[in-house]
Amino acid sequence: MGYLMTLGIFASIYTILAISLNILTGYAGQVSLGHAALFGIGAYVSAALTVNLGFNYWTALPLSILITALVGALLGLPSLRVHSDFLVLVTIGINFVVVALFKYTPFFGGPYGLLGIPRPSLFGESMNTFEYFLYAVGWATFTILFVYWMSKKYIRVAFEAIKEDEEAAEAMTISVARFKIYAFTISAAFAGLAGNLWAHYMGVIFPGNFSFSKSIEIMTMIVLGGIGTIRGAVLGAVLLIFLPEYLRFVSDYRMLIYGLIIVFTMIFIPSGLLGDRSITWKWTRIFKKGDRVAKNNEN
Amino acid sequence: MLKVENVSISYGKIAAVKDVSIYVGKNEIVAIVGANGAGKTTLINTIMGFVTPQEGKIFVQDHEITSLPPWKKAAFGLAIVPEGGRIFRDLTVKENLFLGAYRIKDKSKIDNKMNEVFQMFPRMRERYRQIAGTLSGGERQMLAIARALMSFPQILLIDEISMGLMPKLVDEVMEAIHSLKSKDVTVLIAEQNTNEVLNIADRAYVMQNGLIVMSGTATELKNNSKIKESYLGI
Ligand SMILES: Nc1ncnc2c1ncn2[C@@H]1O[C@H](COP(=O)(O)OP(=O)(O)OP(=O)(O)O)[C@@H](O)[C@H]1O
Ligand SMILES: [Mg+2]
Repeated sequence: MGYLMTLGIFASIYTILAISLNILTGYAGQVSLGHAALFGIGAYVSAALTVNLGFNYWTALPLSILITALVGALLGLPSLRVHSDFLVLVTIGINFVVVALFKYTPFFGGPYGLLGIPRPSLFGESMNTFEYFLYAVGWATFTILFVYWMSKKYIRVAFEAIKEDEEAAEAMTISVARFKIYAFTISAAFAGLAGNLWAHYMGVIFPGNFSFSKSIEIMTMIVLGGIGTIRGAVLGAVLLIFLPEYLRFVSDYRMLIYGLIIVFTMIFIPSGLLGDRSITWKWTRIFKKGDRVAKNNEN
Repeated sequence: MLKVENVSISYGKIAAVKDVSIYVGKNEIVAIVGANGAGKTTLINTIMGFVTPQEGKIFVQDHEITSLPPWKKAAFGLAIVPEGGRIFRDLTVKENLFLGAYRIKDKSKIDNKMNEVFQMFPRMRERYRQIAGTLSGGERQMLAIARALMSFPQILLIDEISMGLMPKLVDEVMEAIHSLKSKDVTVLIAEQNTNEVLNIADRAYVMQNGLIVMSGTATELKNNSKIKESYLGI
């Protein structure tokens, strides 16, 4: 039971991560293969604040989100100069730099990482696994609702516009620079939240937890589930957390399988399992009444 | 209204526009005509801010806007119907239109404008929820104009709107553009389809190899067979 609970916590954390990457890559079209760096910054900032500086968890939580968001805004600056393929390379580079910073900074525990990160406490007692499970699920739910709300707002349409044609978007008075930074900032804030949840659940973090392969893992989730949709991000995160636990070979060959998932999804179902244009998603809509075409168009 | 002064633009070593000066008065329709590669698109894109000129100045009313980014120029009342339309293909007609009105905060103003645009292009009302990428070529061109109009432009830049339209639609679209005159919109239109555009324009500039080689009222240019032969190939 405790084990299932732990998987539930991981699934919640990865749901938040996948949704946050989806804001950046799915909505705003800025492909990042360095998302684990932001995840790591959230985790390290919160861990360092509580372990090294004696902050209370409930103070460290907003601070870790805020600081990650600010770093995200800074990391978004290169996107104003470099595009698509080059941006991917830049984000990979950033991932390696951030991991190296954790590794070589004594304040962050160097290669040994940070230990003894406290669980948040409620009414004077630190949360047990069940309470933490509810806490994590609560944040995942909040993330889903918030991003759903955002996706109905104008900012989402502006993101789509800059994804499709930056010049045409500028002609609509949309400042491409500003909206790219918004996308990086919002995305980073949620990645920071995920990092915070991770650090305070695990109690120990190492630089290796946030390496490039973690970025690939997050990307695999949204590619498999369907880039550009919340439901896809959730499905991808849940599948890739639970599958390895039940299929031994998946966990033995994790990176190989992630690689294969990306390759096969891209070739055979480019919009993922639940993307707006995927066969599987359209198929589920057959059972819905009403004008399917119009429905699809609205999302 | 719009003034371009001694503007030169080159892409690397290729000089696409050389020392061009043009003027568009309030509520005028001014055409830029010329053969392929004459520099029309480059000039229009420079006015909008997609391209920064190496030399020269651009003014809207009396404000210098030469090297502002497009989104700031749009705030000065400039809007563009770019070459090929460049509508947002993954978004719906509705979303495209709302993007056009991005800087307008007043909801009722947007609704009124939307109705006005629908009167001009009833097809857009029928296709309101359709994904723009699935519109026909002609409908996309209409959407491009409609989207530009949604921003309440004072100056509308139009690049090659007749591209890919059947003659009857060209007439309709030109008629629609002509009707903007009565709506306080100033138009600068680059066009291959010289005959059609000279029918609705007040004045025109003829471009060749990046230079303005001739200018005059539309009637003058239309009736001058020599110009037609030497510059316009008709
Ligand atoms: N991005 C670019 N890089 C290099 N050269 C360019 C670029 N854009 C345009 N040119 C060149 O500049 C010249 C003018 O092109 P432009 O597109 O302005 O012509 P145009 O008058 O609009 O032609 P058309 O009627 O075919 O649309 C052409 O010789 C073209 O090859
Ligand atoms: Mg052109």
